[in-house]
Amino acid sequence: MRDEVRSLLGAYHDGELDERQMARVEAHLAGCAECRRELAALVELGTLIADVEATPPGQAPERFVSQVMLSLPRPTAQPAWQPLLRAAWWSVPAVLLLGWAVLQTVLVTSGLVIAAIGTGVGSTELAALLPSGASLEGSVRSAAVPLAVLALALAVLVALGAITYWSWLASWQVRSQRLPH
Amino acid sequence: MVSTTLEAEQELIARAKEGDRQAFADLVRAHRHGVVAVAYRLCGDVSAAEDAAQEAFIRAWRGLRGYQPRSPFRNWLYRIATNAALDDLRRDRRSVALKDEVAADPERTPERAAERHERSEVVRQAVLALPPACRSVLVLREYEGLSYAEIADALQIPMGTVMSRLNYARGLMRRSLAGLMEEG
Repeated sequence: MRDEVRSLLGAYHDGELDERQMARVEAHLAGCAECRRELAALVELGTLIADVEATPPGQAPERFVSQVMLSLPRPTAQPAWQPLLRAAWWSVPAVLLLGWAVLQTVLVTSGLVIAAIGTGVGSTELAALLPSGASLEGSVRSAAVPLAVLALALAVLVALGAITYWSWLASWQVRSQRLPH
Repeated sequence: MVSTTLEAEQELIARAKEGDRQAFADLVRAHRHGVVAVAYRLCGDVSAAEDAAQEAFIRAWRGLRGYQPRSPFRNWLYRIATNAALDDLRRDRRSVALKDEVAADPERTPERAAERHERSEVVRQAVLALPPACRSVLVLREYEGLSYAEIADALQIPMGTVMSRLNYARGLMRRSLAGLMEEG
C-alpha cells in the first residue's frame, strides 16, 4: 500500500490525481509519517528546481526570427496544374455571364415574338417561319403551356445563376483579403 | 512579446500551412522564448539551445501539414524542440563532460551553494546530468508547467511513462541535490 502511495505522491503534488485517488492518498498520509516526509521532500525539491535563474539572453528576438525565415527552404515552383485550376475558377463567372446573356436574349426575343403576334406586327414574316399548315394564333395557343414552363425554367436558371455568381463573388472577396500582397 | 489568442493562432497556422511565410514568422515570434527555454534546460548552453530552437522551427515549417489543430500547437512545437535538442546532444559530446563535472567537483558543497547563483548552477547541472528521456519530462513539467497529459502528447509517450520517468528523475535529482535539501 505504501509503495503504491509513494509512487503516486509526485502526481498528488502536481495535482494530477482524480478525486478518488486523492482521497486515498490523503487518508494514507494522515496515518503515515514517512510518506508525509516524502511529500515534504518533494515540495522542497520542486521549489529548488524551479528557483533557477532565467534562461540567459541569447540573440535579439528579431534576429532569431529572421535567421529562421532565411533558413526556410525556398518556395518550390508551382505545380503545372495550378494555373489551370486558377483559370477554371475564373471561368465560373465568365460562363455565368455568358449563360445569363443567352437566357436574356431568349427571354427578350420570346417576349418580342409574343408581343408581335398579339399586336399583329410582322405577322406575315412570322407566319413564313412556321411549318406549312400551322397558324400563328394556333401555334401561340398550343405553345402557351410549354412556353410558360420554359419561362419558369428560365427564371429558375437565372436565379441559380445569380446565386452561383454571388457566392463566387463572396469567395473572391474572402480570398483577396487572405492572400498576402 | 507577441501574444496571440487561440483563434488568432489557429488563423496564423492555417495561413502558414498554405505557404504564408509572414504568418509563420508571427508564430516563430510568439513561441521563440518558450522553445529556446526548453532547449536550454535540455542542453545547458544558450547558443546550442538557439541552434536547436532554429532547427526546431525549420522542421516545424516543413512538417506543418502534419499538424492537427486538435492538440495545442505549443505542445507540438515542444515535441519537435525536445527532439532537436536531444539530437544535438547525441551528436555533441559536451553533455558527457558536464556529467563528470557534477560528480567529481568537490567544491560544489552546500556551504558554497549559499549564494543563489551557485545553487542555481548546481540545480542546472543536476538537470543536465539526467538521462535525456527523463530530462525532457522533468523540464516540461517543472519549467514549462505542462500537465501530464500535455507532456504525454508532446513527447508521444503514454501517461504512465510520463509518471514513472518523472518519479525516476525526481529521485535522481534528490540524490544530486541532497546537500542542498533539508528534508533530504
